[in-house]
Amino acid sequence: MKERFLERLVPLLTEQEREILKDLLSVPILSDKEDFVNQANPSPQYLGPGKWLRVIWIQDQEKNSKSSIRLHQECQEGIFE
Amino acid sequence: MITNTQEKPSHCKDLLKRIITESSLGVNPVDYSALALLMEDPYMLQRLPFIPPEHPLLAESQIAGDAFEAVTNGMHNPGVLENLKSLGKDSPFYPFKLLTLAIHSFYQGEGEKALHFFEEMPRESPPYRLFRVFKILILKDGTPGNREEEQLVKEIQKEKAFLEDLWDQVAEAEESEPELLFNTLALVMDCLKNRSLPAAFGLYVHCLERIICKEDYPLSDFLNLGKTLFGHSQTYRIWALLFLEREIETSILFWLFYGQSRIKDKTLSLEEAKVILFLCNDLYESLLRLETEPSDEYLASLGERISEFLSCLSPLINGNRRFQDLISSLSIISMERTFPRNQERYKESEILVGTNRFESKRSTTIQLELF
Repeated sequence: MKERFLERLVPLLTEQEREILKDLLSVPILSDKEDFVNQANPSPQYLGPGKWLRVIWIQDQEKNSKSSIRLHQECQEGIFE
Repeated sequence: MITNTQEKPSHCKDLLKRIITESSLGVNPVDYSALALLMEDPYMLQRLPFIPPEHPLLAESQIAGDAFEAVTNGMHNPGVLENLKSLGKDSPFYPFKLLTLAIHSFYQGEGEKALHFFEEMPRESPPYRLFRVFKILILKDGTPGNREEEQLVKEIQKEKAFLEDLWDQVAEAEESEPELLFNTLALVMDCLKNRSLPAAFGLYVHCLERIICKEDYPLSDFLNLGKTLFGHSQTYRIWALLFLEREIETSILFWLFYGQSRIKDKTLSLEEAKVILFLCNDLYESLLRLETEPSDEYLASLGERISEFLSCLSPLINGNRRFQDLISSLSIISMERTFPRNQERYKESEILVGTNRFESKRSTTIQLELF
């Protein structure tokens, strides 16, 4: 229907009026949940430095590096925690 | 040169002790590349008592730590980011500088730029371990390697999860009673309106498309909800559009309401008024081409709306000869001319209550309750 409108009316309108018509006929369309979330543009949460550092530290723990574990324990008592 | 990457000392603290001792002996230049590969916390040096207060590494640690803390806490402090410039590639804090800039870019919505900082980062440096997390966050690529990564991603995307939950609630309510959908939508809109009005508007339209032609749905409640959240004009326009392909007659009424509302808001330009009139005229012609004649109630209501719209429009077009000519040339005037005739018929139909003489194939009950 909208396309038919544009076909019929556009020749009768000036360029400025055509733009107005296009704006009038524009509808926000959400295709799915992802589209909705993207439109909402959620802001990432700020978590502080500790959460980021834990990811760095945990890989050493996985490697079972005793020295790293000791160091991390010191850090956990430190300024970020 | 004190250290090199081939030595691979196992402990950052041991290496630092060696660096401090040997630098006090005046060994110069110092190669910090091995230290950069062991540095797992930019503030660590602040807590090591054997580092002399005047040692340049301590100042670098402060700069790197302050900037890292600022970007992860969301503190807008351009000064600390500016200070990062003093940390060159030879600094043991260089990988943390890149990580800090990557996190900053990520929060600024510049995903590609954030990933670019990882390209510059030494692969064996501790900050590079966050690359997988960034790929998940930015490229939505891959899966967390462990529970800590999973937790970090989840907490950063908490708002995303919240929004997904809102969508799910509405989708679930769509399958149930009309009243429940309305109540759910009203609650969800309330949560969304201050976060993202475009998303709220999109969801509102999405729901309307599903229920607008269903029976028993409280359309006037949905209309009022839209007016409250998005204003009268925007709501009328969307309703006009949604009815465009379903009920032309209702769509015309909403276009006229839209025009009137814009006039009341003092935001309607002459060009827009002209386009609305073109639209209504075209729709009316389409309506007349339909097999079934519109009902008298509808024509009476339409005539009333047209009169009101033109009456609101007249101060706007006053003195504009070109516009008056336009109106005269439009067959919408003929719609107005039909009004007295239809009003007579309307009166007649009042007498003929209970007959089907002028009944449209579409029910006007829903349409009229909206106004």
